[in-house]
Parts: sequence; structure tokens; C-alpha cells
Amino acid sequence: MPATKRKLSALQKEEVGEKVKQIREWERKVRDSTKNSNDLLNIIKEAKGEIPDVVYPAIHALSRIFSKFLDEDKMKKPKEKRNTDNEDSAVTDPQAEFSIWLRANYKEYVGILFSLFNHPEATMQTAALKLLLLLVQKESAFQSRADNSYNFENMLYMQIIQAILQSPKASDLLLRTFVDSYLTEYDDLRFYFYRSLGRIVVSDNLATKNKDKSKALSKILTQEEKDAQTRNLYQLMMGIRSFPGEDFTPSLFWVTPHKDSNKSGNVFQGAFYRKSFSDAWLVLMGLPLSNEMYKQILLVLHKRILPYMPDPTLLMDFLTDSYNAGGPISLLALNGLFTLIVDHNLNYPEFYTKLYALFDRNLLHVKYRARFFRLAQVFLSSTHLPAYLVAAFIKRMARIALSAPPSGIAIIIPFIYNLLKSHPTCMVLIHKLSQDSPASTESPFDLPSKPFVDPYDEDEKDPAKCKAIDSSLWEIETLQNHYYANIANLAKMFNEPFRRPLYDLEEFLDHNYSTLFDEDTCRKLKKAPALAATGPVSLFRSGDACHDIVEFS
Amino acid sequence: MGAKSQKGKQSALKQLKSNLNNVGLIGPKSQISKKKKKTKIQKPGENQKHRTEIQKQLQELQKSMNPFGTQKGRSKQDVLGVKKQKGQEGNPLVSRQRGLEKRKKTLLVEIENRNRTGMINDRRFGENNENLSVEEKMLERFTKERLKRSRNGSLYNLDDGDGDGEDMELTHLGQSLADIDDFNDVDLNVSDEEDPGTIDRDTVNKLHFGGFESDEDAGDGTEWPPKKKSKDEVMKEIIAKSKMYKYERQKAKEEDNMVFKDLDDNFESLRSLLLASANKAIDSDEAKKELSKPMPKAADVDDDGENEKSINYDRMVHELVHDRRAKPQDRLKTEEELALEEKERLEKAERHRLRRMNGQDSDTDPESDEDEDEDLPAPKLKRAPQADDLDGSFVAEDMATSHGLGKGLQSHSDEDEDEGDDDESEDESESESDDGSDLEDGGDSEEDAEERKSKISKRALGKKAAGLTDKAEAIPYTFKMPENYEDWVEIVQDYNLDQQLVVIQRLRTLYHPKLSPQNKPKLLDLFTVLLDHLAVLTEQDPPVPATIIDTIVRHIGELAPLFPLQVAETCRQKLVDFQKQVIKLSGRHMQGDDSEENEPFPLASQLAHIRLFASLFSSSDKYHPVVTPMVTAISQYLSQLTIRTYRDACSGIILCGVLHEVHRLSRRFIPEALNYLLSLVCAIGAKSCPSTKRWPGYFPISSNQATEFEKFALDPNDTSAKSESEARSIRWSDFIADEEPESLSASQKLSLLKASVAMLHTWSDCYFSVSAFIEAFNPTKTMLSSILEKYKNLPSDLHKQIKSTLEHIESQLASSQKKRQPLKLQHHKPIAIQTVAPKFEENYSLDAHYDPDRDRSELQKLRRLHKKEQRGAIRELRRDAQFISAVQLQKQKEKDAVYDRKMKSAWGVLENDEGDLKKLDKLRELEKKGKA
Repeated sequence: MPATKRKLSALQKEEVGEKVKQIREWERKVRDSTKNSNDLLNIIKEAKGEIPDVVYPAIHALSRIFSKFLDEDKMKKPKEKRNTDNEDSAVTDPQAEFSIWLRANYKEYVGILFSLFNHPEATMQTAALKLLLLLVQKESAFQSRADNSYNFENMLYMQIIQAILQSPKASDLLLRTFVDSYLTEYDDLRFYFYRSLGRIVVSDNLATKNKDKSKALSKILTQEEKDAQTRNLYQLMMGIRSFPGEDFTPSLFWVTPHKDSNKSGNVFQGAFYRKSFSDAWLVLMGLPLSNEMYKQILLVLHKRILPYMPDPTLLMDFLTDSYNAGGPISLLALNGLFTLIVDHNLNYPEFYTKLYALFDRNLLHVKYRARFFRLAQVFLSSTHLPAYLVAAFIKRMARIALSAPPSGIAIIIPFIYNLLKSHPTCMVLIHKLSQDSPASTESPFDLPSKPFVDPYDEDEKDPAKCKAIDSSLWEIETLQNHYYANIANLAKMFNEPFRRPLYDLEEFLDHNYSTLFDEDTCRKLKKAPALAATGPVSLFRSGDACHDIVEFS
Repeated sequence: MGAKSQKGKQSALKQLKSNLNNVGLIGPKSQISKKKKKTKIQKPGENQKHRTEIQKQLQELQKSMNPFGTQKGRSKQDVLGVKKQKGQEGNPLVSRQRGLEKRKKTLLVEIENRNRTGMINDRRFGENNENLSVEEKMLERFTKERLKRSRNGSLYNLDDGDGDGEDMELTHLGQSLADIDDFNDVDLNVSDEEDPGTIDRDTVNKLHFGGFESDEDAGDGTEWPPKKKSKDEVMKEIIAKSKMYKYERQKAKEEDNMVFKDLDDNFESLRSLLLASANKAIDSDEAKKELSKPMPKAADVDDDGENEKSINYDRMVHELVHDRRAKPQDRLKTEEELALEEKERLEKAERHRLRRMNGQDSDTDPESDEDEDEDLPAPKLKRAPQADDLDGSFVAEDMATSHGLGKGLQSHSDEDEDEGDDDESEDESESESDDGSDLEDGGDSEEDAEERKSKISKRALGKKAAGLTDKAEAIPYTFKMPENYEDWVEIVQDYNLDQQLVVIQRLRTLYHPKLSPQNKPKLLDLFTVLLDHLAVLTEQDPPVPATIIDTIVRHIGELAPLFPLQVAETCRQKLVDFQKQVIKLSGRHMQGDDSEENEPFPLASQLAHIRLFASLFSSSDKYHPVVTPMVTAISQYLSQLTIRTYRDACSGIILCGVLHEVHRLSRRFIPEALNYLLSLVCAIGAKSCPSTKRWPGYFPISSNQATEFEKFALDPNDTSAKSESEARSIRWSDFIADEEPESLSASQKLSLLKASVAMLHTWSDCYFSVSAFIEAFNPTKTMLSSILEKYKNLPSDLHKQIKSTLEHIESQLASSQKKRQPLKLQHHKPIAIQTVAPKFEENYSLDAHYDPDRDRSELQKLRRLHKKEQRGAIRELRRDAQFISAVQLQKQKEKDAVYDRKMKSAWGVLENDEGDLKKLDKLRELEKKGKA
């Protein structure tokens, strides 16, 4: 708004001021008596204008006018009237005519508001949203007065949702306002949002399938609109911070329910609510999501979605697909999958093979490694796992640790330690008696008899066949000489008797380069650090690795 | 024991008798001699004392004799381990008595004083002391009184005590009668045993006929009889004596003067020696003047107190006191000795380095202990003396002699004083400005801009300072020490690079730390200036010759040992800045944010600094406060930043080289360096692999990196590569160019390939003995062989190099394969099964508490103590109550008795009256009868 304001010349400003005054005048007149109703048309005309400074007061004025009419039941033109129309069409009731006229204008006004969702300015969008939702409230109240029962004006509401979702220009502010001040706050708005979502998006899908039967609601969307719909829906769904718990009872209503009509409102049934909640999420998951959205949804899945779904097994397909996708998405899917396996009896074939495949070259470098290893710890903690399997995991971890950052190694080493401790049969990985002369193994001085060929097959996908149990963890021994002293010390634990209690992995999960660096540099120097015994004579020493590579000319 | 039992068998009466006998109350000893009796009569106090003593003895006797006093609790059976319990045996009578007495003293007094508000505190001396008899008390009081008076300051009060007349002394022949009155003093020798008829002469002399003169006045004792001198004689004697004293005094003084004179004469010659050797710094002229001045004589001072002279003398003495003692100079060492010393020093340094490498603490730092005497580090000895040798002290002398009071030196010395004064403030301001720059580094983009601006200005300054001027002006011999880089630029902007080196050298000479203690902080300034200068020089395009840079590096290396702590702080700060940039960039890379302008990072100067730090510090240490963070930061750079341009890749390779330099001795394992090099090789040889995912090894490839790597791939059919006869090396100027094309030319790719393969070669040498060598280098082998296979038209020398590296790695792989054995990390002594033998406690006692939990036992102890105290307190209260009631009863009884008596007497009077009345009545009646 201020941007355009600045653009306006002084003259225009004056004009605008006058128009605003005019609108106020009209509004006052219209509200005073029905005789001046024709001024309504003037206001509508102004509302259709271009200048936001004029449109803004105009739509507000209209909203106030129509609310008043709705409150006064002036727009009553439902069935009874129509019935009477059929009986004696000749009778022209001026009241009825006025209401018909009003309704036409009302429709036009609603149309204007919908079109504002595509307005470039966020404030106009939110204003439209606010007014429309207000109209939903008023209309519902009007309807329930008419029917004497609970009534939620879902048709209009659905249209609003659709308009928001499919508006490519929907601003963050609009979405945030919708989520924060309406969806999260009001239980009925949320409920009907969830419910209509299925219809909007599904009908959209249907529409793409059979174009002939496209209803009024589901027009064929352009690619841009589809993307916008996915994006907006994702943002809305992620924004809602209120979840239907087991003992859910709605407390705050946008449309105040009728006192007697407790039964009619579906809002009041927790089970129904949860059902629509889960449907809504499934709808979102069915949309083509970007990688980032995928990750975010998976991140919150096990905390914000799964617990509130009446039937979490519905997520199975989604999670399985994600788990098979590979990369960080698999890591994230593991969390939800874990819940399904543990709490909902999901039987996942070849689970460990797939878990094994997750230990890839990028694992120790990605952001979600802490999360992954928390779960991996659970999966591998069972003492009933066969030794070959655990050995395969251990060997694999050691292998990837060989090219991992210190923070990654800091996770791996305690992890392997814990595994070795709880699976003593895997101790052969770090202490193997030579095959040919078991008697002489006691003396450490027996001559190396035969070169040992590492049987471990790193390309084998199946942990059962990779022969890790016959291998040895030379990688760990190498890491005992890691450049970061703490890592080296940690790796040296394998040389000592396994007498310390299991490591608490949590302590090792949250390191990264910066924490290590800060830890080293924030310490105040007390003692003068050792300098090189012989000071530098030249920048690149003649035996230096860089000396032959860099030309100083 | 036997005697006791025998005693026990005697009858009680006999025991009493014998005991009384022992004490001396009955039996023959109790007969007191007449004399004693007499004295006893004389001193009633003593008598009383004696009596109380006897009383006491009797009481004790009674106590010991009373068999009913002690009570014993007899334990029915002995319990093993229980020591004798307390309260088994006791004397309740005695303890009750004790308690009673105590209460009488405390509680009773309190009760009696219950309703009183004021009280008299009897503080007379000895009033509460029972051991003093009345007479002793009185005596003591008297002496106290006297002492008090004499102390009271009535020293000049002649008629002391005149008023009351008590203190008037009665004298006899000038002697106080009080002295004489005591018959004990005068030996009367009145004894019953001696024959009373004879009185010896002495006695007669003393006591008869005007005797009673005390002994003191009787002269020396030997002279007998003493002759009284006449007044005249006495006066003469006195005069003679005083004359003699005067003469002696004079004589002594003369002797003193002689000694002084001798001393002065000798000192004159000695002093010239001292001055010549000690005050080298003092200008010779001045010294001569000083010498020519007459030495203030010690003798003068003594004679007349002329002010100036004495001040001179004092000053001289002070100077001499504070003068450093002349020390014999060390013998000049022979060349062999020097070599030997150097060898030992190096060996020692190596020993310490090894200790630090293994993570042990090297207690004595070879550098620091040598720094103590502010010596320049030894490396200078390694070189033959050169023209630009930096041996400060020698040159300083040279200059002083050759140029005398040159204008430079003169002005410098003036400035020196000034600087010395505000040295600290300068330091502070500098540190403040340092802090400021830190903040800027940590700040957001606006500050970044500022920083960049400052950098640019610095660069501009550097351009000036980079010796691009060809003017070869004569260099003055003295400079003001630059405090910051601007000063430095000011100084050197007119000189070319070689001359700048001379300037540095001269600065170091002028401000040699041996010359003044204030020079050290100035050299620290020089150190930072040189660091900055190095940065500027390495940024120059075309690059500055390596020899210049090397010389500056050497200067830095030689300055660093003077202040290792500050150097470390400075370097660490540079590293922190570096790491901050890494974080910022990696964040940007992670978001794939290309919009921001790509500021080249790291700069050539940063690379140079990092390389310098690697050789400046003892880099093989297991933990080093500068090197460890440096390695961490480099690793972070290598593993987290996306390689986008040729320059990025080159910097990475250089940093890998730095890492190699750091760990070439300790051979610690750095996955990041290997990852980086291998990924670079893979990226360039990508066409020999089917897909990115199938690249050998386990180095990570992020999706960003994978797309960036696409442009690194060398086309195997590219003929332009063949055309070049050889792959060029990385040039330092590659880091200086500001703009860079997005795509890489084939020659750049080839040079990267060459550099990274060479680097891998060196690394493979470094990790040859590592147990996981196969795992670490197998992917390299695979990649190199596939490159050789696919890329047929590489430049011949590159081809050769790759081939040789491949062969090298293959042979190393084979040999490590040969050596490979399964791990035996758990080769320990079998762990002993936990013993379950009970812990045996010597001298176990049930009473003692063996709680292993210290806190709990402490608590238990406190609890017991509390209980005991509580019980004791309750008992005490109960006894108090009993006592009070007894006292009250007693009082009541007394009251009653008094009343009774009163009543009785009243009754008596009344009865008497009544009787009298009745008698009268009877009499009257009788009279009546009689009358009648």
C-alpha cells in the first residue's frame, strides 16, 4: 500500500480522499434507509476500481452494509419464497424484489472479494479474507435463524479455501493470517477446512481425469495454479498448530452453534474430526511435493501427524515410498516407519537390508544424521539380532567413518562400542585369532603367517552376504590416529578392556565443525604454545607438498 | 596389686589409721616443733591455711576410704568386640556433690539475685581467690595500690601522700624503717638450737653500736675497712677521667680519617675501571666528563655538612648500589662447542616435540626457557654470517661508533623517551582497534561492506608499500617503529622491496629487545605489521618474488619466539576470521544462493598466513591451541564448501598441502584432505565413470557439488589437451585474479589433475603405514587406472606422472596387503573374576561404626551427639529444678524457724508476764488474806 501511496500525485490523493468521503456518505445513506439503496451500486462500482485506497474502504463499507442486511434478514429469498413464486408468479412483492436485487449485488460483491485474492498487495488479500470469513459467519447465522438448526455456510467457505489455495499470488501474510487467526483459533473453521480439502483437491484430480464432468467447483487448473495449490496447501497444513487429540472437544467457534442443535454438527465428534484431519494430510501427501516439502513433512510426521490419525497405517504407502526414495528422505521416513512398526504392527520386509543401504557415503555429512542415529540405535539395540547382521552394520559404519568429518566419527565410535558390547560375538571384528595356528595366538610375537585378505564386500547390498563378520576394523585402528585429538582418544577405547558402561549416544550427536572450532578457540591461552623448533625459512619449504605444485611467479 | 589386696583384707579402722599415718596427720611427725609453733602463733593466716590443708586431706581420705561412694554396674556376660562401656563405674555421691556445688555457685546466685536490679561487683584483688589467705590478700592489695600510684604520673608530686599521712616514711639514718623493720632481713640468727650466749663479730658490727647500715654502702667488700675519699680527691679523679675520654675520642677520629682517605684513593682508581666496563651505554664523552669530575670524598662529607657535596656523595652511593655487578664474561666458545650446543638444542627440541606429538605434556618448553634471557632464537647460527645478518647488538655498536652522534640516533633517542611514556596507552588503543575489526568480521553485510572497504584501502596502501616505486633513495639508518600498517606504509612507500627488507632489518636492530625493555612490545607491533605486509605482498599481481616473501617469513619466524603468547593470539584471531567466513559461505552454498556477489575466498593472503602458521608453530602436537583449530577450520573448508571454480579447487589443493605439512611428522589421519583430492580427481576424470553415484570411495557428494562438478569434467576426446606439451602448475597468480570465468579451460583442468594427483602421491607416502591404507587408497587406485584407460590423449608428462603415481600406490597397496593381519586390539591379560572374599577388619569393634558411606556416618554421628546432648540437657534441667526446690524448702524452713523463734520468744515474754501477774495476784491474795 505505501508503495502505491507514494506514487500517487497530490491531485490523485485529493481525489481519493473525496471518493472515500463519498463512499462513507453512500454507506450512511444506504444504511439509513432502503430508499437510497441504489447508492449500493455506486459503492460496488468503486470497489471494482483499481486504486487500493478506494477499494479498501469500499469493500469494508459493503461488508458492513450486507452484514446489516443479513442480520436484518432482508436478504431472505430461500425456498418458501420461491414456493410462493411458483404458486402465484404474478404477485410481485416489492420486498422480495428488493431481496432478489440485493442477492444479485451480494453475489457480485463476493465475486469482487474473490478476485482480490489475486491482488498483488498482501493487505488487500487479507482484508478480502477477513471480510469473506465475516460473511461466512453472518450467512451461517442467517441460515440457522432460517432453519432453526446448526448451519455452516460451507459452500462459501469452500470457495474461499479454493480461491486461497489456487491463487498463485497468495502472499505469505494471507496464508499466515488464515492459519494463525482463523484455522488455529477456531475449531469449526479448521474442521470444515479439513473436510472441504478432500473435495477441492480430489475433485480437481477427478476433473483432470474426466474433463467432461467438470463441475463448477473444479475447473481445470493450469500448471502454475497446481503448483500454487501444492505450495499454499503445504504452508497452511504445516502452519496449523492445533491437533485433534483423543479427548478433543471443540471450544471456540467461528459460527456460534445453535443451542439445541448439538447433534447435527459434525464438529462435535472427535472421531469424525480426526478422520477429516487424516484425510486432509493424505490429500497433501498425494500431491506432487518438492523435495524440501517432502523433508519438512517427514520431519514433523511422527510428532504432529501420526499420533492424531485414526488409522496411521494409511501412511504406510507414503512412508514406504519415501523410505525407498533414498538419501535424506529415507532417513526422515525412518522415524515414521519406526512408529508404524512398533505401535501399529507394520511388517516391513527386508527392513534391515534397506537400513543397511542407508549407510551410504553421504550419511555422516547430512544434517539429519543425529536423528537417524537415534533411531538406528533403537533398531540395532535388540540382542536377538544375528551376529552377521550386526557385524555388517559395524563394518559399514567403520568404512564410512573413514571418510567422515570428526563430528560423524564422534557418533560412529561410541555406536560401534555399544554394539560390540551388547553383541560380544562381534568382538572378532576387533580381535581375531589367526585361523591356522590357534594355539600360538596367545603370544603377540608370532610371525605374520599369511597375508589376510579382507573378505568384506563393500558393494554387496545384503548385509547377510557381505561377510563382514570375517573382516576386521582396520578403519577404527586408523582413526586412533585421527587429527582431532579427542576422536583419536575415543577410538583408543577399543584397545582397552570392554569394561566401561554403554555410551550415551546423545552426548555425541550434536557436534559439528563449528562447535569443535569454537571450543578450541574460546579457551583463553594461558601457557605460551609451542613454536616450531626451527622457525620458518621460507613460505613453502623445499620438501613441502605444495612446493612442486605451486609456481611462485 | 598384691599390696592392694592386702590392704583390702585389713579392717576399716586399721586402714584409716595407716592412711592417716601416711598423710602425716597422726604419728610422730605430727609433733610440731616449738619453733614452728611459735611462728604459727605469730602468723595466724598461715595457721588457717594449714588447717584448710588438713581439712582437704581429710576429705580426700574420706572419699578414698568410703566404700559406698563408688558404684559399679556389673555386666552379666562379656560380649565379644564390645569395648568397656562408659558409665559402668562411677561415684554418684561425688558427682552429685560436684553438681550441687556448681549450682550453688551459679544457679543459687542467680536465684538470690532474682529480683534485684543492681548489684555490687566485688573486684577487689584476690577476693575470689581461695588460695590466698587474708594477709596475703592485704599485702597484694597494698602493693597494687602503690604501683598504681607510682604509675599515675604523680612523679613530681613531692609531698606525695602528705595529705593522708599514711605514706610518710619514717627513716633511720636515711634508711626507711620499713626496710629495717623486717627482722628477717637482718640476720638475727635467733635459733633455739644455737648457743644463745655467743654473738659473732659480724652481728655485733652490724647491729650493735650504730649498726643497721645496709651492706651496699660498705664499699666493695674486699676493702676492709673502707676509706672514705675526700671531696677534693673525688673531683680530681673526675677531671682526669674526662680528659682521658676526650683524648681517646680524638684518636679514634684520626684513625677513621686515615681509613677514609685510603678508601678514597683506592676507589678513584677502581671507579675508572667500573665505569669503563659497566656503562657501555653511556656516551664515552660523558663518561669521561664524569670521570674527570672530582669524586666526592667520603671524608669531606664527614667534616662539614656542605649540602651539595653530601648529595653528590649520596647519589654516587646509590649509583654504585644499583649498578650491576661486573661479571666475568663467558669464554668465547669454539666452533665445535657451538655446533655441539646447537645439536643438543635441536635434539632436546625434537624430544619435546615427540612428547607433544604423543599428547604428553612437555614440561619444559625448549623455546620458552631460552627466551628468558631475551635472546634471539638460535636458527641464525645455522647460516653463515651474511651481509644482512640480524645479530642486533653487534650492529648497534657498530653504528654507534661509525656514525657517532648521527642525527638519526639522536632523534630516535628523543622519541624513544616519549614512546616509552605513552607506550601502554598505545598498546591499549591498538588492542581496541583490534576488537573493532573483530566485530566487523562477525557482523552482517553492511559491516562486511565496510570491511571490504577497509580491505580495499589496505590493498591500496599495500600497492604503495609493495615497492613498485623504482626510486632508490638512500635509506636512513633509523626509523620510528611503525605502530600499525599505515605507519609502515608511510615509512616504506618510497622504497623498493629489497630496500624494505633492509628497513625491517634496521628496525629490528634499532629496537633489539636487549637494548631496552620497551622494545619488546614494539617488536610485537612490527610482527603484526609484517604479517599484514606479508598479506599485502602475497596479494600482488604480478606476484612478488619468492625470495622477498621468504625473507619476510624468516623475519616473522624470528620475531615470534619473543612473544609466543601474543603471536598465538594474533594467529588465532586470523583463524577465527577465516572460519567465520567459511561458515558464512557454507551457509550460502547450502542454500544454493548464487545471487550474492562471489567474493573470492580464501584470499591468497589467507592461504599464505595459514601456510605460515603451519611452520611457525609446533604443528605435530597432538593438541595445539593454534594448529588444532586451524586444522579444524581447514577441514571444515574442505568438506563443507562447494567447489565451484578453478580457484576454489586450487585453494583446496593448497590447503591439503598445508594439512600435509602440519601432519607430515605425526602422520595423523585427515579424511577431509583425502576426500577432497579424490573428489577432485573424480570430478575431472568423471567421463571415465558411468555416474556420480558410482564414483569410487566414500567421500560425500552433495547434489550442489555434483552439479558444480559437471563443469570440471575433462572431455576424453578433447584434443586441445593434447596440444599442450605439458600441464602447467598452479600459479600463485591464480589466487590473485579478481574475476574468474565460470567455466574451466582444458589446461586448467589438466593443471588441477596434475596438482591433485601429485598431492595424492605425497599423501599416500604419508599414510603408507596406516592399517586402513587399502581402504583409504583403493578408490584412488581405481580412479587413476580408469583415467589412464579412458583418457588416451593426456599430455605426455601428466600421463607419465599419473602412471608413476598409480604404480607407486599400487605397490604400496600390495605391500600393505602383504602386511595385513586381522586386528588383535583386545590382547589383554584376562580380566580377573571379581573376588567375593569378605573384607576383613582388623581390631573390629562393635562400638566403632564402619559405614562406608561417609555422609551417612557423619550424619549418624551428629544425630547421636544431638541425642546425647538432649538427654544431658534434660537431666540438667531436672537437677536444676530439684536444686531450686530444695533451696526454696530450705528457705521456707529457715523462715519458719525464725517465725517459730519469734513466736516462742513472744510467748515466753507473755508467759513471763503472765507468770509475774499471777505471782502478783497470789501475793495480793496472800496480802488480802494476811490482812484479813
